[in-house]
Amino acid sequence: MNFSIDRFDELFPGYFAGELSDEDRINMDHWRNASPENELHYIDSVKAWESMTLLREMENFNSFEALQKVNGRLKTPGSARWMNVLKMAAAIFVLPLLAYSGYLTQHNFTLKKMLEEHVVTQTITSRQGMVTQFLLADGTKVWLNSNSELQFPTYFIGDFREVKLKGEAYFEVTKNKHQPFRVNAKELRVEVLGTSFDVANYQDETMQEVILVEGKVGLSVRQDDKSTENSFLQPGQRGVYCEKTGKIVTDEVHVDKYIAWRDGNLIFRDDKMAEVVKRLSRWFNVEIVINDPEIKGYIYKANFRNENLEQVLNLLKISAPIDFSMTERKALPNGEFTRQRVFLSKKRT
Amino acid sequence: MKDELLTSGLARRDKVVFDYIFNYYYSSLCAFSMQFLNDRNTVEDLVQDFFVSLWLEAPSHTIHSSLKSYLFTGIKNRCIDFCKHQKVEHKYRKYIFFTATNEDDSAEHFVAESELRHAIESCLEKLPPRCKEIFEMSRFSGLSNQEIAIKLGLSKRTVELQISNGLKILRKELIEYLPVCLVALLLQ
Repeated sequence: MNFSIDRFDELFPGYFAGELSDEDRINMDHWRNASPENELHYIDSVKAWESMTLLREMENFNSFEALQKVNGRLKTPGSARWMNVLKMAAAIFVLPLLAYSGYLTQHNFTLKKMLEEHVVTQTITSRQGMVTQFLLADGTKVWLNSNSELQFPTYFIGDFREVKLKGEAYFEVTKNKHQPFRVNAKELRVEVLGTSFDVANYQDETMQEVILVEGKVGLSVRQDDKSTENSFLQPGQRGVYCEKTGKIVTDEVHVDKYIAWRDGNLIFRDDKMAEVVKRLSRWFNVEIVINDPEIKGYIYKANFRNENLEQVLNLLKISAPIDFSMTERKALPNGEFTRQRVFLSKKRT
Repeated sequence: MKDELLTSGLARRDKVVFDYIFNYYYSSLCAFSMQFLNDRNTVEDLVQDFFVSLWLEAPSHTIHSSLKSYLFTGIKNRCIDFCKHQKVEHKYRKYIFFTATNEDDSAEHFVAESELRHAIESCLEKLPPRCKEIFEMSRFSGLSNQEIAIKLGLSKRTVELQISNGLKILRKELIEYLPVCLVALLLQ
């Protein structure tokens, strides 16, 4: 049998996903058992493969929230007693102590500077159907929509407060004109001094949206470290960046319906079914397929709150001449699940 | 970041230092503990308790080893103690017995989240663009090789070759982070 290490590397992805033919799989097993070195090579491959799973596992834990819980438990009677001793000591050795505290402050200052050079990046992910709310180090309030991810430093240093967004988030930025706040969403960059706005940057879409509620924001498109397109938004305006054309288009919108998700609401105001379907599929993390193109143009008006997918689809069915069918989620060999699929078609009479 | 600065800061009960250590190691200590106790809430409670006592006992405690191995060994012992006092599923008890009796170095080789992310991201940057795209689709969006092939209009074999090439580079680059990643296997 001619089975080399290269052949092993080639087959590994299929092997690990459980997608190999019986013959290949048996060959792989033979190769693994042939020598301890081979087995070690297999283990190293698995580790490299799984390193990303490990990172995802770490990201499940949010040090930001945990630290707030822990902070409440750190005050001790012990430290109060220590303060009393300190006061007594202070009464006796006023001068030497002053000198010492001077040294301590100096020391703390260099320490702070050193810590700032080693900024820790934190990632918060919002699971399907959930909105996560949290504060950043500068006091900026963030609402993170379902299936979204925000990367930010635990301290903001440098000229800008920069964060990285996948998915959708609403920001209420704390004012600080000396350190503007920047949201990076793929090539699109949103820059503000202090204001409230919504950014939608879903990975599966080729358009990014920014909706401004209050204040003023600047949008720019970054390509190869150069800004190729610039635009400003006024309150009540929406900026849409299209990856294909590389242009930003602005228009006036009803802000409410874009930010209703913060309170767990889905609002549609004279929206085309194509738009309704897009937002429903994000909200419920399902794939919605429109079977009859005619449906896409239907205009729809509705408010949803806390309804599940089936309830929403039933309401849709009552108010428009459409019908739906659903598939179940299927388990993949790697333990993950496929997305549920929903098919919309015209009601047959 | 210098270890002595952190340990001495901790001994002084410097809150800035404490916060830094907490943010730096919290998520990886939790992920590390998941191999002993497969329950997120329990693990978070244990790690938070551990940090509280670290703060309370800081002035009377000197750390002789590196801070990292002090933290990971500390939380490992707490997990083992916790298991001893609880009725834990047989398979985990067996595993703990194994690691507790064999002086393993899992604590020594674990990495913090930001270190691991940095290592993976800089690895991915080194892949050719097409390879990177396919590799990320495979590892991050949960698509099967067949689904990726259809989406990109390639043959399944091409997709597998690209993933395999990506993996080769990752294996080489991540070598110093590898001992820890075995843990992920146990998570499943």
